[in-house]
Formats: sequence, C-alpha cells, structure tokens
Amino acid sequence: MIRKTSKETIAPYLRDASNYSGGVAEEVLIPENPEELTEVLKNDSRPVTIAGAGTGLTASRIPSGGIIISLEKFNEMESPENGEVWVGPALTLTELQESLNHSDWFYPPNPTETNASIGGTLATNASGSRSFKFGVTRDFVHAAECVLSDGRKVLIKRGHKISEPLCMDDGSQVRFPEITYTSPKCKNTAGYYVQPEMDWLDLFIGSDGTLGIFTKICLKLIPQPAAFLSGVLFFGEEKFCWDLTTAIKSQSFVSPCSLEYFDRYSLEVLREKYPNIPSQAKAALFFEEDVEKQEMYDAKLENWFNFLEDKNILLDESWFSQNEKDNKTFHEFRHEIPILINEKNSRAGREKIGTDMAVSDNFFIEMMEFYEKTLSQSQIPYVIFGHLGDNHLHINLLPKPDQLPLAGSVYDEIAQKIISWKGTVSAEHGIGKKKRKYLYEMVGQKNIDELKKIKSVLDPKGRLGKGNLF
Amino acid sequence: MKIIVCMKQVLDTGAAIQIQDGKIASPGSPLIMNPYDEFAVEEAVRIKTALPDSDITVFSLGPDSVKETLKRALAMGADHAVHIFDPLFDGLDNSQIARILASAIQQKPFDLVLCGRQAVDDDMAQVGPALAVLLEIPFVTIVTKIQFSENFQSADITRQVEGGSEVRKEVALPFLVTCQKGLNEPRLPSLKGIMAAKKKEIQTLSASDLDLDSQLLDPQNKSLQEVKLSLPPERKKGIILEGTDEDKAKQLAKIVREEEKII
Repeated sequence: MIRKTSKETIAPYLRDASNYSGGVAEEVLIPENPEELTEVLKNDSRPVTIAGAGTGLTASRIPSGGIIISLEKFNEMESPENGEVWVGPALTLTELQESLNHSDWFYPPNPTETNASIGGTLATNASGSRSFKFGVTRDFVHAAECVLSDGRKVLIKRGHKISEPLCMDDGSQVRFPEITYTSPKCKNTAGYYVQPEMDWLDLFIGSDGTLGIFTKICLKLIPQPAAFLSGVLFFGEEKFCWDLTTAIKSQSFVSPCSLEYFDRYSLEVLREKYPNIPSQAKAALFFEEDVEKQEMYDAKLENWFNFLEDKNILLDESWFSQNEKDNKTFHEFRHEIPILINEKNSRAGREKIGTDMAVSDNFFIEMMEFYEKTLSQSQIPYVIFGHLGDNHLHINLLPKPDQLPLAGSVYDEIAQKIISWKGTVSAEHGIGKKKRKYLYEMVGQKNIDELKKIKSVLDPKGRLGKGNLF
Repeated sequence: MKIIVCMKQVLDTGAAIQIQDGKIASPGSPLIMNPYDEFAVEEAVRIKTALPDSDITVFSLGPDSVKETLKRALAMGADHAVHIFDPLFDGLDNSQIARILASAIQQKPFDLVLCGRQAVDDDMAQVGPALAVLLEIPFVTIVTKIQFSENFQSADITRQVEGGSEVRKEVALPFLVTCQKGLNEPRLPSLKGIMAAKKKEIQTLSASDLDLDSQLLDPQNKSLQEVKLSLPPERKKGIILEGTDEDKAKQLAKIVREEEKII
C-alpha cells in the first residue's frame, strides 16, 4: 500500500471541481487490493474520506480531517459479457466508453464530465443528457462489492430488497431502520434514495460516499445502437423551445434520448466559437435519438422531419447530423458551454454559482417562467443550459464582486421555490459539503433525523465521508 | 452561373493511421469531405443565394464510399453530383486525376470552378492548378475572398500570401480558384437540405463515359512515383517525476546532466 504523508503529496487530493478550500487530511492511503483496504478499515479508527477522480462539484471527496483512501489502483475492467461488465471503481467513464466502442455493447449514462470515475458516478448517481430516455446511473448497476467503514464486506445484488437484512461476510446482519421518509420522484440525488420495497443497491448508489465503499461494480449494458441521429434546433424565442419540449414529451412519433437546452445568453457565449449559429436564434435545443438498426435510420429521419415541419423552429438554419462526425460536433457544442463559461469567468476573476435543481414534468413551464422572471429582475449576468427533457437545468449565476450577496439570495429564492414544488436542490451533482444547507431546507429536520438513522446502521461511528450530507 | 465544385473524400483529420501493404489504412475511422473542399461547396451555395439562377455540380473521384460525401454536398445545397469511378483509375497520380476531371467537366459548359486549396490527406495541392491548365482557364490559389462585379462577369479575388494578402483585380470568368480557410464558414446540413438531397440523383461516370486518351491511364505514364510510405518516428514517452519538490529537482538534475547530457 502506498502512503502519502507530505503536504505536497496530499495537496492534490484536497481539491475537486468545486473550488472548495480548507480541506485537511493526515495522510493519503492507496490500497493495491480489497484486502489492504479492509485491513486499514479494521485497524485504524480515524475518519475516512474516499477519493475518486476529483471531478465532483460538491467537495464530497475533500475531508476536514482524518485520512483519505484513494481507490486509484482499482481501475480494472473485465470483458463485457451477456449485457454486463465488471469494473473497478477507479475506471474512468472515458476508459469505459472507449473500450466499449469496439464491442457490441453500450453504456447509456453519459455524465458530461467523462474524466469522472465510475465509483464517483455511483456515489452521486450521475446522469448526463441521455438520462431523459435511458435513466440514470442507478438504473445501470446490477451488483457491487461493497466494504463498510468497519471493514465488513458484502456483495449486493439487484433484487436484494431492504425488507431483508444485508448479510455481511462475517455472518453479521444489517437491518434497514424503520423510517417514513421517501425521496422525491423527480430526477434527484439529494439525500439518500428511499422508496418502499427498494433494493439495498439503490440506497448505496447516490449516498455521497457516506455508507460504504465500492470495490467492484457490475454495470448493465445494452446492445450498441447502429447509429445516432442528432441535431441542434434553433428558435427565434426561448418560449418556442420550451413548447417544443412539451410537445416532444406528449407524443411517441420521435423518441429522443437527449434534450439539451441553451438559452439566449448561452448562445451569446457560444457564438465566439461557433460563428455559424444563426444570428436570429434566441435559444437552441440539442437532441439525439438512438437508432437500433441502420435500416431504421431513414424512417426515423423522416419522422423527425414530419414532426418538426410545422413547429415554431428556425428549421432552415437548424443543424442535423449526417454522420458520426457531426454527432461528435454537436456533443462538443453541448460540452463547450460550461468550458467557455468557466474560462470567461476565470479571466474576469468572477465566481460562478451553479444550480443543479429539478422538478417534475407538471411544473416545467412554471419553472422556466419563474427562472426567466427572477433572473432578469436580479440584474445578475447568468446563463441557463442543461437537461431540459428532465426539467433539470443548470443556471450559472455570474455575479460581479459587489453582486455576490445578491447572488446568494437569488440562489436561496430559487431553491425555496423548487422545494415548494416538491423538486430537488440536487438532481445529479450530489450534496457533499457545499449544499448541506439546502438538503436541510428540502427535507426538514425530522427527515434529516431519519436519514441519519440509515447512516447509523451502516456506519455507526460516522467514519465515512464525514461532513457530507450532514 | 454554372458552378463546378471538385471535392475529395478524405480520412477524418483525427484518424489514427497505419500503413498496410504500402497503403494508408485506418479501419473504422470516419471518411469526411476534405475540409478545404467544404469551403468550396459553401462558397458555391452562397453565390447561388446571391444569384438564384445558378446551378451547382459537384464532382468527386474515388470508391463507392464517395457517394456519402457527395450526399453531404447535396444537403449543403449543391444541385447535382457526379461520382467518377472506374477500377482503371486506381492509383493514378495528381496530373492523371486532373485530366480525368477535366474530361468530365468539359462535357458541359461552365463559368466557375471551385476546388479546395489542397486535400488534407496527401497535402499535394496539385489537382486544382493542373485542372485549370487543362481547362485552359486562369486560376487563383489559396483564396480568402471572391468579390464579384455587379453583372457577375468578373471578380476581385483575394488570395493569402505570406504575411498578408493580395488582390487579383477584375479576373474575368471563367476561372478556377482553390479555397482557403477564412473564405467562409461552411454550414452544417439542415434537415430540409438532407431531405432534399435524398431526392437528388448522383450520376456515375466511368472511363468509357469519358473521352480519355488510352495512354493517359497507363501506370507507366505516371509523372509521380510513390517510393515508400512510412509513419513518423514514435515520440518517446514522457517521464513523470514523483516525490517531494526537492526529490524531483534532484532527479531532474540527474537526468539533464547524466542521461540527456544537456549540462
């Protein structure tokens, strides 16, 4: 096992993509195999924070004391078979996707940050654009080997319900506590996932590194689609784009797997790099549909044409893919927006305040109108982009230094409204250390106590991911 | 205006290539329109927008896969596509290809020929100028702007030169230009364009459809012989030093002095 004890060698582990500072750790341990990991957990009593690839946005991997265990050596991948593949938690999404490119199998979840580790995507139940049709990470995990904070191990399989105890390798059992809390129905990763009669696996997924440590993960795969049909639609008004999204959801003629939004300010940012964005465009929607077999491609294209023809779209100026390279261009177009904003922000020395909230379908238009009104009135520069199909948008507030307090109160105001609609304050990034306040506001003290009961049956000493969620 | 565009299908610029049996191979990599030829297609479509009576024909020589790329040109707004294909054309050099293209283009009247400045696979930049010579029309290479006169009978053509640009004034049509980055921003296909392209036919011409000198296709008459292809030497893998700053500095000093012998 590698131990890193000097300040310089620990420092890289005290960072992630959240800009959170003030992390402290006594040392970093890098076990080479699960046995070394369990040995440490059994023989050490210090708090443990698990480090993935450091791409998280909520400081979940940044400890305020104790030790860091980095799973970076657990990056193996077995060959995919029968719609399943076993991987180590440190394997990155890029590595997984690249190896599957040469196979007949496809892993649908596509979080935007592809340098993320698979373990990290389980910890946050990450999603990405294709969750609109295929679902989130949770839907694509078949089994996982998991170690608890005291070193006990368990292989958790799908179908293993919380009504039955979790049987550990030493013969001991863990029972799910009696609680009444259930988590929101919309796309959500705030707090533990709790639904009646759910699987134990679903509890561990999205638990922000606070319940157990995945050492090996079995992912579910689907047959590789023959092709993707994609495009970027442009609109003369933002509202036309919202209306089209509602229209897409209420039919079955076309079946996109991604519906990604760009508001007028996002397009302004993107125009620097994409001068061919039509000048009259005030909003855009990236869509893609998976095509199971090549012979279905033309019919699907025709469906899109017929569906879009009479809608309020700048159809002549909108872009459509003709090949794999175009699909890649459109994906890059989508990925470019956060990158350009981050670059612009650091040049201007501004802080970015990003939201990750979502509501259920019935509040969609109300939510969009509320965002528009609240943000325009605030006078704070902003952009809105993200997963329109899931009613899950990322608002990036870009306040000038003297607008910072105002930006904080705008964020609070938005969070309050989303909570009042029974939505979530975190749909895919997790809570970590940065959004605890909003989890409290969202679920209330009574439910926080119930969530803590879950934590106490699996990690009674509170060693794992201290400071995350609670 | 009758506009001719010459287009070549090339391997995606990001493709990893190998050399197999003396030829470049990159199985599974996408084939794309030569990026400089996209400027040519785009310019043709823009001229047609300004002068709606215009007619755009795209020519491309190559295997069956070329049809996919011709469809893209049609989706961007070209009116006709001609695929020139014959097993006899395999392995010809640039001047022979220019002769075949010239023979195909000369079958109908034309006013303007647009080519890319060069293909990004072999970077030869030969076919465009050679074609102009064979068609007996003037040519301007590496063009970044074409400003037509009001009656579209001539144009001021801006070409890139080292450190700046120069303008060729009042070049009378017909002429040929090779298009450079900066001329325009090629459009992405629209859904209407793609649907319209499905209805446009791609004409195929083989050696027998063209009035070619039999001497021309003789491999002995190639003016360019390819001797050998090889990949550039592989770059040495980088080393990442580990340890404290002091350790790393010591290791670096050792490498610089003892292995690389720089100091």
